[in-house]
Amino acid sequence: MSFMKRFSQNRLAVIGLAILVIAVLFVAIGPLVYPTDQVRTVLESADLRPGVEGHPLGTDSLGYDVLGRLMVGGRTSLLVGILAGILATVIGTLWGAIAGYVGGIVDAVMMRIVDAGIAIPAIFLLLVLSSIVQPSEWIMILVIGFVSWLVPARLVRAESLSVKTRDYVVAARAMGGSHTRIVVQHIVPNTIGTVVVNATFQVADAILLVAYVSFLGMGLQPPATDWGAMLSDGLGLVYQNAWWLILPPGVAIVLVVCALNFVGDGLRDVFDVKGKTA
Amino acid sequence: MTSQTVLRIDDLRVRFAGRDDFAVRGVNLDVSKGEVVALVGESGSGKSVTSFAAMGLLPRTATATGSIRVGGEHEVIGQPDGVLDGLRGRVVSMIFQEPMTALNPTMTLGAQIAEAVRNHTDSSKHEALERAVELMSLVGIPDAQRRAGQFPHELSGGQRQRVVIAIALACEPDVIIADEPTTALDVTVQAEILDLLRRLVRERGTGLMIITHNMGVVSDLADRVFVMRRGQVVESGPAEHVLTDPSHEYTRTLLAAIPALPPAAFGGAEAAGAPHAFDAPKDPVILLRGVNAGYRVNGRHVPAVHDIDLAIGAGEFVGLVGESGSGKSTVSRLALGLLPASSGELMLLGQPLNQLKGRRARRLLREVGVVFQDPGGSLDPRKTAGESIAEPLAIHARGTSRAARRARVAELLDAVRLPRDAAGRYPHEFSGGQRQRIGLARALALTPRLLVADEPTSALDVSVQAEVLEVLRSLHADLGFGCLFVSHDLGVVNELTERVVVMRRGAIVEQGRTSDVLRAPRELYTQELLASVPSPDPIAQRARRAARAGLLEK
Repeated sequence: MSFMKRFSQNRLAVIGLAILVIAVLFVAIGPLVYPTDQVRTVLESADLRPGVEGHPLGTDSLGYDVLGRLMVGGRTSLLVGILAGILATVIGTLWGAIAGYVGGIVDAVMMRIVDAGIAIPAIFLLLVLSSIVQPSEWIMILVIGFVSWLVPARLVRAESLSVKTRDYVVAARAMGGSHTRIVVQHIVPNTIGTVVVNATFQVADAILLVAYVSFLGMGLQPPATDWGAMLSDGLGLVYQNAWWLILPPGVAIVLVVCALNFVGDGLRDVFDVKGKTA
Repeated sequence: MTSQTVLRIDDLRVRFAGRDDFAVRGVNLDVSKGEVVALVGESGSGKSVTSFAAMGLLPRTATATGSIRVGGEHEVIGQPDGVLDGLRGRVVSMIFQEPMTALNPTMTLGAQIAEAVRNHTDSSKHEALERAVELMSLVGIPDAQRRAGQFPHELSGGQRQRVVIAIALACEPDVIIADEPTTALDVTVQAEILDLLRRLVRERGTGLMIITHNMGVVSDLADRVFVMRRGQVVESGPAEHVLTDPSHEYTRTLLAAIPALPPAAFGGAEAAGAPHAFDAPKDPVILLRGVNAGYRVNGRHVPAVHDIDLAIGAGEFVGLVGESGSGKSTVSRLALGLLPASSGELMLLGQPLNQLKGRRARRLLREVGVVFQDPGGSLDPRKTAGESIAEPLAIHARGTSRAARRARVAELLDAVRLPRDAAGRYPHEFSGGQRQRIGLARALALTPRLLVADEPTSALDVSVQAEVLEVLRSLHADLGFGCLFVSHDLGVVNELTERVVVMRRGAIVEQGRTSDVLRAPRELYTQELLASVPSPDPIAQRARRAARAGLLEK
């Protein structure tokens, strides 16, 4: 309970959490409350300004309702972002925990692989891949997950190095505990603070990455869409003053990414306090 | 107030933001010129807060009321930093506990002392450096000229503490506040530093307020003593009087909790005679014969212990004493299978621990329990006490049902005298002494035949230490495990163990029955070690000091 109390002391974090809850409800329940057709184009109702009856946020050049599209597109953005972030965190945590705990040559080799990986920009890999295969949501999750585990791996390794010298780890070894047991039972749980905080940033990064790729037209293909693709579509009409095509997805991305960062900061405070008193 | 009073604290109250209770509740205290006043108490008693208040070093979150006057007329409380800067170092200065962190690792020692000199005088850089060298020889650092150009890491802990003292002396302050100045040091070094402080106070007439939890230090050095508890002074008076005939209940329990030292009646410098004979245990639980071991540092092998011959019989309580760097922790790591012996024979329960690998070695380790020094670090902060205690069961007795495991945890909590509902709580909810008892319960979960206890009570207050040792003693009587008790505290070893092993520089210098070795040590080093431990009884302490002086002349 004191966990929630400490978290709620950070007002921005609470606001961030609220935004995230609203965003998830918006994309998950929104389409049920506000059903729109996001598959068939209706050219006669294209390019409507916001406020026109039946279209609170207007329509785009193909006649898709912008509010409805924001919900459907958000599903992709959030789903890919969250799952890719989690995948990256899991891989990175295990990789880093093992490298730090085992140490020596194993550590050196594992971390050089990480260094090499960090040298290759993730966006570049994604673009190359998109030009070869037509990316689906699942392929994007896998690719983003497999290119962005490097940072958590480094963080967890550093934590793991310090945790493994603690007496309770030494005691576990002296009790005859196996290495697997020590990594799973002691090392990983004690890096969880760092891991959870980093995971929120990972999700934010993944959402941005999806948006970049889609913005460059290499993401999901129409009629499927996400917030990045909506931005990209709207950009062509920006000189016709069609601000309602860019602003909603842009604001949505900014809000969600900021909210995730706020929540991450709040969680960091929570775990820091625990580290001091424990 | 007389002109002789160099520090006077009147009705000091300190409260930290966000706390309802005061950390210091109305302390009155004074130190005269050339006097040593000890402020003693256990952790949380407010003694350090008092000393920080006197330096004007309280954090911003603290509010202090009352009056603190230093050097006769200077008020400290409520003064802006500018005024305090003029007082600190010149009128009142401080000696810290940990000399390594009190010194800047990137500056030479001479430059650090010179900096303190130049803070309050307008001497040139060159003059200040000369003064620094002078101060270094004053605090007994040999070859001061050369040492002044060295960095903190090049000196031993004791030498570093001397430099800290030199910095405190740099501007001839009226009063020096020393916060646990010898706690981080070995006893023989502690004795040297106490000698130095005594000499400086006598020669220069500086007032000294020493904050300590060690009654031995008080009896060795202090003229008067103030005993603090929960932010208040509960008793004060001449040291001799307070230590021998305390009037307050708390002082009495505090003194009673200190393990009794063996008398210093070994006749000072009389080192002689054949080593004490003792019965080698038949059928030992652990046996080390001619063991050498070391660590790999940057790819090089650094030897840590050599020619260790040691055996512990079933149910035998063996103490292993020595100063830091003596290799006693290395021996405990060897016994735990955490460090391989590079040569020699190491048998655990008749099996060669050194040659076993993987699962077989791990299975053998179920017969060994371990308790570590740091009560904060020996329990996983993310596991409940119950989970920690049950860990050996989870490793070695996988088949046990959940109910059986819970029953065993409850049984163990009873054994270490903790309430059963403790099983569901996390380590940070316990005090240091309770955590050590949880660690003990974990170590004994599988009723091992050997318990390795590495300084299990060194981080605890004496009254808490007494509790934990009492639990350990009664469990040993009930369960009859062999115990390797590593400690630097000769009093504890004297009270607890049947046999004692003295180590120095990676080798065993003497071993035998505790009553023999600690009452009539054969080796000069053991004698010096014994004479260096300050006794809380001022009269006995005078005898020890004389004995030590006699030894040093040899």
